[in-house]
Amino acid sequence: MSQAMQPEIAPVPVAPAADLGPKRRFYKRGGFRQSLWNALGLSIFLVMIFPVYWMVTSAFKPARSIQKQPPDFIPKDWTLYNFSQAVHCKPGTTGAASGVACQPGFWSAAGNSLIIVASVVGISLVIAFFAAAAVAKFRFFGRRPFIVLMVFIQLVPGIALLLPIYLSFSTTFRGLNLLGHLSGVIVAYIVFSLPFMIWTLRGFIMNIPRDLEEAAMVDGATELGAFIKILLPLVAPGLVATSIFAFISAWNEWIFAATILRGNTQTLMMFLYGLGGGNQGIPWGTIMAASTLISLPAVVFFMLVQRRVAFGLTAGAVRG
Amino acid sequence: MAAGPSPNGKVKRPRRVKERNTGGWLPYGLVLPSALVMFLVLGVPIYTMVRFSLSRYDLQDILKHVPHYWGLTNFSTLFHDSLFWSATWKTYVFMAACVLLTVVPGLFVALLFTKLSTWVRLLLTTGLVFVWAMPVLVYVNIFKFLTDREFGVLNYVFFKLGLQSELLHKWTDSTWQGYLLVVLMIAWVGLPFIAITTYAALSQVPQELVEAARVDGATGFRTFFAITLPVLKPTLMILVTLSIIWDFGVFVQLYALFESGAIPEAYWILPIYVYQNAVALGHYGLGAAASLMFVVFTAPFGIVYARQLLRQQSDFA
Repeated sequence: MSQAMQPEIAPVPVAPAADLGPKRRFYKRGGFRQSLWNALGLSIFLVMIFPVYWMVTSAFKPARSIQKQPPDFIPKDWTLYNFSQAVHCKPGTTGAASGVACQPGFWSAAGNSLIIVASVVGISLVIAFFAAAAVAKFRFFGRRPFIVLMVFIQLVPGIALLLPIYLSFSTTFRGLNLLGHLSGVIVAYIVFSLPFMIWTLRGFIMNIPRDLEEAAMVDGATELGAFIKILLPLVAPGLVATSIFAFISAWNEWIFAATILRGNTQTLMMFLYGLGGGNQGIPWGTIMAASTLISLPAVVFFMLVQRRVAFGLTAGAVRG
Repeated sequence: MAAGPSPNGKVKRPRRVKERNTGGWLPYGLVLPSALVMFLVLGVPIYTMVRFSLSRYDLQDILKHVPHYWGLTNFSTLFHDSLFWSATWKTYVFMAACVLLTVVPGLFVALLFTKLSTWVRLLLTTGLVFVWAMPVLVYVNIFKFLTDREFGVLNYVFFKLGLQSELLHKWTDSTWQGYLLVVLMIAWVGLPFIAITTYAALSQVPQELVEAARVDGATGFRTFFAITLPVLKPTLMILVTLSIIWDFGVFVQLYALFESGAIPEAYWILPIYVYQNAVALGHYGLGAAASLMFVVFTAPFGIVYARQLLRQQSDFA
């Protein structure tokens, strides 16, 4: 069972089944040694997962359990109070039980985040697919410089582009009212996801055998027909994977949204940042509950791609 | 490379002396929307920034639409600012620490993967993917909570272990501990990518050779340096270069660590310097110049990486 699942979850299958024989025997040799390695692996697992574990369990802990030393490593009593604080806070009220100020606007922030993410994924997917098809399937003047440019733009640290975008939004494009509006964030995010999407989709499209398309053309399909009937289904996994990556990076981004929107409108990440700014002590329970809720979509989608596509280096684009 | 978009066995197209155009106007039409967006939201902003870096433009000039050119004055101000130079060397040292503490443990975990039973490996992989998926602001919050002055669980653990003398302890009060905290969180979140990618590349190591070396009496270390490492080298090179580029651009992890952007000058690495000068203080011209210098500092690493990447492309020979 676990053997059968293994190639699915690892990014790339370890080795063909036939090669596994001597290798397995080699590593399985000596039960004591094996359990030492396993113990080491398990302790690394515990250390790595602990911050995530701490976030989730603290989200369910009542304030009295969070605000104590020594801490409860295994939660004693559970509560949903932190989640209701994070989600339902009404403007101007404070949480009665702990006296901690809460911040309104979770749902409107969630709505804004959804609008942003949906627009970014939708728009950039379409135009990136066009460009990727062009550079993968045709030879034309300016093709190579275009590809090189896509690679380079991906490598410029995002933070280096913050100031240029902020400055041009406030001067050259002042008339478009991008600062303080969701449209500004959407436009900025599209630019970040485009190079990565074009580059990845190009790889997917190039791997489609030319014969398949030619066969379709011989059967009387037009260029467009062949494109829709043959190319599109074959690149569908690529489209899904790149959309998910674009989704995750847009969902996780904070500093561009914070700089462009300037507090007029909030995204979920801005909401999360705002939670820490109370003047009556930091409401860790609420923050951890909100963190858990907000990271859930990112984690779920990440797991989906991780299992479905051998993504290796391309996934690097997701790193904050 | 193990997991690149094009498999290693791909047939190379015969090289043409000159690319013949195919598809007429169609490819231009297909590329146009992307090119237009990139031009407007990347090209124009970068041009704007270069213009600003050569202009006098502060908060009080914000209503003027035409910047007032004053040549390289911003750059000379910048180069005379000791804070800029300290931010620069701090950026390099900080980046080196992050890369080292991400890549070495990552490589170690990748090698460990090959020794583990399947169920432990699955568990560890799943755990690593969880960590990998954490949004940056979320893990900064988690680490802030772990090291909270009063209720931080790390403080408790370190106190019990005798590593710190008092239970109440604020990490960011001491500069090196503050940096250590940021390096720790970057190493933590960066390790999964390195470990999983390297593990994928490890499957390319020919097991016959490893077996043969073992039969010939080679030690584990010897086998690692003579057989495994050379096979891993291309992947490791790419991973190191990528980590350098990423860790050079670390911003949010430091910025969000402090209350509402009040970052002590000891923690000013270049991106913070740029942001504080330009966005927070309104010295747009100076900030633009600093931002350009930052891009110049990053460029060599980017060029190295782009060359590695493009060299692998079959239609790029």
